[in-house]
Amino acid sequence: MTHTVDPKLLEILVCPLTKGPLDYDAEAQELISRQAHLAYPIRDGIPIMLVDEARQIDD
Amino acid sequence: MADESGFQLKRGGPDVYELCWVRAQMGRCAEELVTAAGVTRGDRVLDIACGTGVVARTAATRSGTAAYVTGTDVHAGMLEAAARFAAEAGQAEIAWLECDAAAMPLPDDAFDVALCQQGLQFMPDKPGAMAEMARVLKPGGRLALSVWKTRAPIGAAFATVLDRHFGAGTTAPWEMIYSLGDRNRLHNLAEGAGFRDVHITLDVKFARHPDPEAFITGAIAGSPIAETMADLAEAEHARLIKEIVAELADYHDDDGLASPAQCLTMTARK
Repeated sequence: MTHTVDPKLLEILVCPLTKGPLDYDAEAQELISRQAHLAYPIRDGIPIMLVDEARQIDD
Repeated sequence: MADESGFQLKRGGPDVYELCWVRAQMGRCAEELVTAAGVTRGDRVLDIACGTGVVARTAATRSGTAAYVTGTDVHAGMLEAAARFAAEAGQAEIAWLECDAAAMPLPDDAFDVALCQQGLQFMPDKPGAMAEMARVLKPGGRLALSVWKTRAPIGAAFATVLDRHFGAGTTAPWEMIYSLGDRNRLHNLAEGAGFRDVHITLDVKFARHPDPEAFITGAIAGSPIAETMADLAEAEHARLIKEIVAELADYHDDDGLASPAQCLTMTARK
């Protein structure tokens, strides 16, 4: 079973750390928090919104 | 019913938990919690510490709009199971989200109802979790939350038999299950987070199962001691299950096991 993330959920999700907006990277299946410099993974359609599980973004 | 504080169900736990505890007890508890919250048609509902998702599914049935229901948990295995069970129940539109209850990735004033069944006692940051529940509720939004008040006979039977067999303290971590059964603490947590009309009731929830040995076998398989028990020889495993059921001799009726557990249910408004 292939799962895709719920589009209604994508509309409302915010960064758990900053409560700021997220950008959806459909290809990488990540939700990007520019303010927190973190990329949260989406696995099997379920966003993993834990800072410990997020990828640090350098810029 | 799992969290980062050490009380985690082992692999395979979610399916066993659903078959065993949800069927015997938590399914009816979910109906009662959803009733306590007054979930009505079209409500936007958040189920925090959703486990295998029975509260979210029950709320979706009651509200008629699964698409407005979201379940959160810190345990990926539980969420995978929750999504699967919801799809099997024709409620694939429920959204699932892995997050910390004390740092939810959800906007302010987004939900009509927040539900948390037997979850808060396992959370390391209880004030933080309560503050987040208040934040994501709309003004006037309703909270319904439940915690076990005391150790139930099933817990006592497990402790007696398993501590005797595996050593004193084996089941000590399970005391977390009823570690928040204190009305004053619950009032303080809710009122500290800004909730109003905080109201706590005490009642008794029954775990009912027609086949007590099958139920206890499942309860063990979904418990933190699952792997230790699974390593036992078959005869020894069966003997311990029988000993636990024997400890519960007073908690049977003509339909099988009927074991009570005292539960505190808190309702409140933002």
